[in-house]
Amino acid sequence: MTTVRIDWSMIFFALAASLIGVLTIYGGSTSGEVLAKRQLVWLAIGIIMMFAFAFINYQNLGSYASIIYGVGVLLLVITLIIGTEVKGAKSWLRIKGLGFQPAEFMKIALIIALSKYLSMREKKIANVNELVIPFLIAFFPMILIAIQPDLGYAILVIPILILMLFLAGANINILLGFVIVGFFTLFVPMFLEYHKYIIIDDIVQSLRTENIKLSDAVRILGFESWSYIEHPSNFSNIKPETLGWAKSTILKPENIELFKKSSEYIFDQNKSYVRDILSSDKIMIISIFIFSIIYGISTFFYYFFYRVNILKNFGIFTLIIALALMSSYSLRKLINFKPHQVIRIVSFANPDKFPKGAGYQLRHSIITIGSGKMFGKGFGQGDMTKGDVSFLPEWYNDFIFSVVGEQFGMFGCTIVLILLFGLVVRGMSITWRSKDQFGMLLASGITAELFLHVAINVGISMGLMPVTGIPLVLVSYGGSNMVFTYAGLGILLNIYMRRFTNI
Amino acid sequence: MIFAANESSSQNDTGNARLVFIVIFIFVTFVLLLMRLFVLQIESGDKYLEKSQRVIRKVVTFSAPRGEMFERYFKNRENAKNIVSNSTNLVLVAIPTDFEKEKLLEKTALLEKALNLPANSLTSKIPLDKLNSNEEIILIDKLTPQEMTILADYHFMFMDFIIKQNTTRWYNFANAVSHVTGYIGLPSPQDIKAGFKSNQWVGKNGLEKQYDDILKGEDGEIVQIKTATGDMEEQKVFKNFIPGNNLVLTLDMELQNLAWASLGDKRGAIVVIKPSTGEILVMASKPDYDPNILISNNNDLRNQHLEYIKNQFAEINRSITTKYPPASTFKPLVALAAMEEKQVSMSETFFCPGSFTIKSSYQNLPDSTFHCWAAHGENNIVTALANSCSVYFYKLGQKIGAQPIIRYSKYFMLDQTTGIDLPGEIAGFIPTPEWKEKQFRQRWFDGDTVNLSIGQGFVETTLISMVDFFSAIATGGVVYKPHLVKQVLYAENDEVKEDIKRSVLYELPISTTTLNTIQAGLRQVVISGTASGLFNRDYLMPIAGKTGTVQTRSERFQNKTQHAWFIGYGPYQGDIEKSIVVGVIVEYGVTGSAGAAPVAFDIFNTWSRRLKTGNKLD
Repeated sequence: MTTVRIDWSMIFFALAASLIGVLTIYGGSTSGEVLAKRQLVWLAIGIIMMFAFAFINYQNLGSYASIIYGVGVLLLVITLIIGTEVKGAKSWLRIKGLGFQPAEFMKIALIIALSKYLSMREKKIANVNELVIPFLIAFFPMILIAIQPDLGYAILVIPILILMLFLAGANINILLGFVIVGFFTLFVPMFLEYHKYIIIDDIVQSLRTENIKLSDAVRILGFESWSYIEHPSNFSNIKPETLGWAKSTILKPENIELFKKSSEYIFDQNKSYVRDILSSDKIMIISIFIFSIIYGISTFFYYFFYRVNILKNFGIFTLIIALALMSSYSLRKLINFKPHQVIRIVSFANPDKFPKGAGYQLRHSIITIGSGKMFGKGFGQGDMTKGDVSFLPEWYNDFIFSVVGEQFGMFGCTIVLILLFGLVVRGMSITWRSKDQFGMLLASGITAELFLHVAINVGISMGLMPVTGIPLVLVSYGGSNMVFTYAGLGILLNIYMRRFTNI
Repeated sequence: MIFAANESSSQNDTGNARLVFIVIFIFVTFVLLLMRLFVLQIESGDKYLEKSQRVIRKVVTFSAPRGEMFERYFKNRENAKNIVSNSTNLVLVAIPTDFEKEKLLEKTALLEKALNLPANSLTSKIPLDKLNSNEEIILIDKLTPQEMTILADYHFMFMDFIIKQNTTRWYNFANAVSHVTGYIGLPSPQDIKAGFKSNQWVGKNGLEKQYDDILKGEDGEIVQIKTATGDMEEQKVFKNFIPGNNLVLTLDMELQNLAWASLGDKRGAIVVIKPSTGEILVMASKPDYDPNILISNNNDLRNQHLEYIKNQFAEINRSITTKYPPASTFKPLVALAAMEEKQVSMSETFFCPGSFTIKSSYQNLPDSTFHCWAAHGENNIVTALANSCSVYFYKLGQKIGAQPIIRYSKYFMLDQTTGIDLPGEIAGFIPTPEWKEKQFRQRWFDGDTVNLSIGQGFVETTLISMVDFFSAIATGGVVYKPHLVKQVLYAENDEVKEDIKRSVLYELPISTTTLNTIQAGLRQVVISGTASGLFNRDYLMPIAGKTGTVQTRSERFQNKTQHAWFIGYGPYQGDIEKSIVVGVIVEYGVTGSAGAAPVAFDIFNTWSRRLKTGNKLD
């Protein structure tokens, strides 16, 4: 055997990216020194982990897939019961002072389990029915992570699943259908809630000049004031505890009149037919009904007229539309969105509108990265993070890429992107060359995870995507992510080493 | 829109095609991210660089509440009188430089609206010429809870305004203890050089000055952070303030008020001391001033008061910062010196014809004649003290000479400060032949000795040092350092941080015979002598004391040409732990017996009542 057995380039990419991360954290702030030292310890553990996973035959991982998956789910359940809450999410498990995030372990476990299942069902996967079990495998832990709640990881799981199904040979129509339905399900309610938010905000603003207390009361009511906008007569039903001191103000007849007038005026100003159609119960139910009927008719004719393909495709199209409308409608009716959830998702579209929270992070992230220009301000010279108080929250974690940008400029950012995308490309190459379906899927899953982390995190840092808490692999501060990313790289090395052998 | 599944192609080809698709997708993403990077960092890099450099961190100090002062009986806040207290309120402050151009007036107008205040009620408080200054402008000096709620709700809009905790000091007994408590003020240029901040309160006089380090605490700091986008991001308490520790004084406010009232409109001072510990129960001085006016915001009133203080010398604590000839209150010292030097005995008498003449040493100069206030006839040492017979002491002084008197004056530290814990104490003065030679190029005459032996001439003492001398007589020679602070309390929980223990100022071995004789003489003053009729009431404890009358001249007080002294202690030969020494000086009054002794009456009266009931004796 004369072939190079270890993919040294991949190890180089990973180590270089990690060291740039440590350097950035060290120079980021006065508190960075402590973090950087800890990060170095995690890096050492990660490298040990990588070699450990590289030398255990990955086929063994396949044999124990169900056990690994079970342990991951169990850890998630335990976390929900006795986990430690960090930043509002119960996502940490602490054992004798050592903490880690089971969600990080679960990602690898899920990829192993999916690869195993899909490789076992290799021949039949094009069948729709075969997709039920992979979806269950993916959604069960995803829900457990979403309960913590950690939306970032939960959302990451769906693209990994779709990609692995795609590579496993699933029917593209069906996958696309899922994507469309999923997108509609999330987008339509968000779009409507966002419009509600904008209208209520405008009412608050317009009332501010007229009656500041009333405007305050509307602001406190938040989304609840929507029902009064639609039915002003409901005013008298406001619970005193929701309004408190403002109740007597808002219930005065002249105030109700003022509120009605200004909400009608704002409504007129914000006229939107798309919103009217999407928010109308009647139109939605009728269109779901119509699309379902069209699907029925076209399916009927497909069988009746010698199975014409165009009819089948048309039928599937209408079915997908009907399903999308139905799921978005039911989601909207089922879930009561809170203003901050809406803001979190939509603030990237208009960060200036949301001075606090996600909008704040985004604006400052863009300033941080943009101010670096070509070669950056220099090591340890970041105006936004240095000193005792950082102006960019989570700078060492979710927004580390911006900090790289501030200190090392476009030059540094490009190097980091080349290193990380180099890893992804090496991963794709390993996927390509893997000797069996299980190895291919495993490598593709791990590569997909790497790619999604990089694309989403960098996209968020540069304002291309809504803010969700996803770290940048290898570069961000964080032990669990570091260790399990290196474990994933170890598996990739493993698949690469054994690509010609049957050991 | 819809991909048709190519069912005819082999599984492997499909897989490869799909892999290629994904690789393309990855490359497209990479290029997209690089493009975005280019737009942010190269195209608009300058804009963001400028924004990132607009980050401002500003430190605002907020003052710690000064420590409070309580009277001596402090166990908890209910049982003892609070002499100096703080009232805390929240103040809304604007610093014009915190606002962008013209925004201050705009935002203040909005604030009026939000708080439902009449228009221009706040904007009128902003001087238009100060729109560019970085001085604090107080907009609302007492925020109500309702206003706080509204401000909290409109947090984003009114972030630029600062809410500060403002502590106002309040002197509950104002004038009555003004010389003890002193007052606070803004630092002088010297203070600022010494490290005080320009907006920090500094003790200016009295205990406020003496115990400034304990009382002032440590100011806190708020760091205001203005973000790159120009709006106030947050106010962070960077350093919390440490409140100043509280003091328990040795003062008894009941007696203090009584003493202060007894002085009335007279100019003078009263000191009451516990000889067993050196604790000062009363220290009152007149004319006085109101510290509350001195720290108030009302400039007119304050200037008026400062003018009054300047004209009346009201800031002077007459018990420690002014020295007077001790006059007859000095006679016990002369008697004590003579007896201790074995120069005179109980039985020795001198005849008082009403005057005393010293033959001049020079032929061409007339003889000097010294007068007594009455012709007392034969006097022994006790009756001489009782009747304050000057001729007796002229003759005694001539007999023993000046040196023993000077020496004993120094033993009793009459020419030194007592080290009381107040600023501004001065030392008394005891003339010596050497001093006179140096000062006047004149030798020490017999006349000087004669003058010295009745406490007139060059000798001057402070009230507090004379009170210490009388406590030495009361205790038999031990004098404790007079002090005004009994305990230092922790600000957080009023628990005792430090107990101020008594410390010996001086201890003289006085023979019992001498002591009994002097004490008997002082007792006779009250029973049959110059102060008789004032204190020999049945219900009063037995008191011993000495009056004194200083001959003085003043153009201002032409009619009244005497300072009046009275120093006494009681109970006479009683439990020293339950004794007090009272010293009174009244300027430009009448004689000691008529001018000063009555002032002490109320204090002795109150103390007698306490001795009977057993209350408030410790």
